[in-house]
Amino acid sequence: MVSKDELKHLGWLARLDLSEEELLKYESQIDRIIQQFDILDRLTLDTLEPTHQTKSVRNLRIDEAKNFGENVLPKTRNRKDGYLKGPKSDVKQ
Amino acid sequence: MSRLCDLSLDEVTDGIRNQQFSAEDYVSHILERITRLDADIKAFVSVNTDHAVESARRIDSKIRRGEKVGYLAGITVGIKDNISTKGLRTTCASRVLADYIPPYDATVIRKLKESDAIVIGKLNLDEFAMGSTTEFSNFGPTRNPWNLDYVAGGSSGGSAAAVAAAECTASLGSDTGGSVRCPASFCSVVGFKPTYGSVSRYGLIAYSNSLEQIAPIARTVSGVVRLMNVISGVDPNDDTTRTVASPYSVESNRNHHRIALLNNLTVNAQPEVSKCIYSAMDTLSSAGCICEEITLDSLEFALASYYVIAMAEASSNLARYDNIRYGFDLDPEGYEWNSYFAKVRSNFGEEVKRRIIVGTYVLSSGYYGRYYLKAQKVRALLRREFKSLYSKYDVIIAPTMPILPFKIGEKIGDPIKIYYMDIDTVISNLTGMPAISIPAGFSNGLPIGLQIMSDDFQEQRIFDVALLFERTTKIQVRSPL
Repeated sequence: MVSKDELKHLGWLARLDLSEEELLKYESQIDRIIQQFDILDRLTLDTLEPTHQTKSVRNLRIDEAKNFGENVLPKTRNRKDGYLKGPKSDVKQ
Repeated sequence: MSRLCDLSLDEVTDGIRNQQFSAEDYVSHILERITRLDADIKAFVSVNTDHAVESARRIDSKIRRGEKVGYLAGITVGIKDNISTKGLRTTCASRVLADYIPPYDATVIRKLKESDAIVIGKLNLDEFAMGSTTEFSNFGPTRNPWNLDYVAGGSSGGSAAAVAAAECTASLGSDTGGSVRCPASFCSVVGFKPTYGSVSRYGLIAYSNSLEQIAPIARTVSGVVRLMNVISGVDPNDDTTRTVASPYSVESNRNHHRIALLNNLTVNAQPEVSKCIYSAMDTLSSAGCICEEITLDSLEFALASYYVIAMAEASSNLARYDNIRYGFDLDPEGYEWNSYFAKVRSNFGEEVKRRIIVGTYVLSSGYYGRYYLKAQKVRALLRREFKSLYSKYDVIIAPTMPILPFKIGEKIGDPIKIYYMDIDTVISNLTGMPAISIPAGFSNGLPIGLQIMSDDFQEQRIFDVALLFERTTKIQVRSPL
């Protein structure tokens, strides 16, 4: 059973502000969804290796910065001194 | 003579190349249809009018000068709005990307442009491709051209409806759990999910990157084949891509295909759907194919496995939307880091939030082994079982959707009912193998799709059977509007 408090915590982990109305709606829905997943519990697949991707990545490219030129994200509104502006990080929290 | 909009992809390229009509005439005709019809259908979220007319004129002048034009010269292609188009707004039908203009083209867009296809506009979808009806779009639902009160399917509902309404020659969607095959089935067009690794995902805005592929839609099988000949192949920007056996052929000369019908999927389907699929099997048998029925017990785990993986990957992929680089106007001044993100991210829609929460849950400690790891093992199990089946059969057939299209709003309050719609399509995303949906018939005026699946990189086997079926049945491909 996924409780309302658990749901609030999941919302926090995912950085989603959930309203009271949403918490109420999601509480029963998410519980029913998870119950559908319980069918996987019936499986014993100990000898089987999991498949994370059907075609694996073989040659990772070099991580390099590419210059897309000036004004690459023209609609971004929060800017200051040529930089994108973000919120302050608060170490006390 | 047919209306220009009803011409198939091949007829359009031939007609333009042979100067039976100009690319500009064709594009103008298509743009006029979009203006007239799309207020009701709502397939388009933006129309690329100026670029389309300009590109058409460039193609016409090349032809007049006797210069060579590209393989897809003059066709109009609509693009699902989660595929990046340089300089053209790409929203994922989400408030969170309402104003995002990509600084680069997806690989598939670059390839289409290089072959002289014309990007006519961007098409509606469920927000971030999460849904099966296109009702979870920030722009509102797309309507089914065969009956405007009904859903078009999803998540690529705009891509299928636009092709069915002849508002474009063809389109691209993306298929993560059936998102191209579902709306193709509901709108009576051809939708093809390539083998994972056939088509580059570079520029596709990620939802569940181990499952999804960019996928073409057209009114005929040969239209889809022609698009695949352009968009598939190795891309250094997507290391999961592999060399493919293209160009694929539209000249099928073999009739004795070995076909298995997965009867788990007909047993659970609506009776009208099941009847239609058995009739499709009879048609293929009469055409010379060797058909038999099979049952696969492990399929009962597919849907749960799919949703665990898709939601887990969604929660991680969508963590990047922080409103700093692309987003709407909320000044970060005065906000603490985490509370700012939690506030702006609450602008995701209902279904996206639901999937992020469930994804966070299944990845959290204590549940990872119980759900996520098991789901990955089911994927291995299904791959093994399907590999073994494809040593005996060329293709496997099934319904694309277990139900007929239904009225807009009918299921939106019950997410589980919507998830269950995907039960027949998620299989090929889990195995990574290719699958097509082609028109198989109608019941009370509502379309039914036949799904044909095959082994890794055996797209040609699917095309051969689909072409045979299409030629034998002659189901209406003309737009109902």
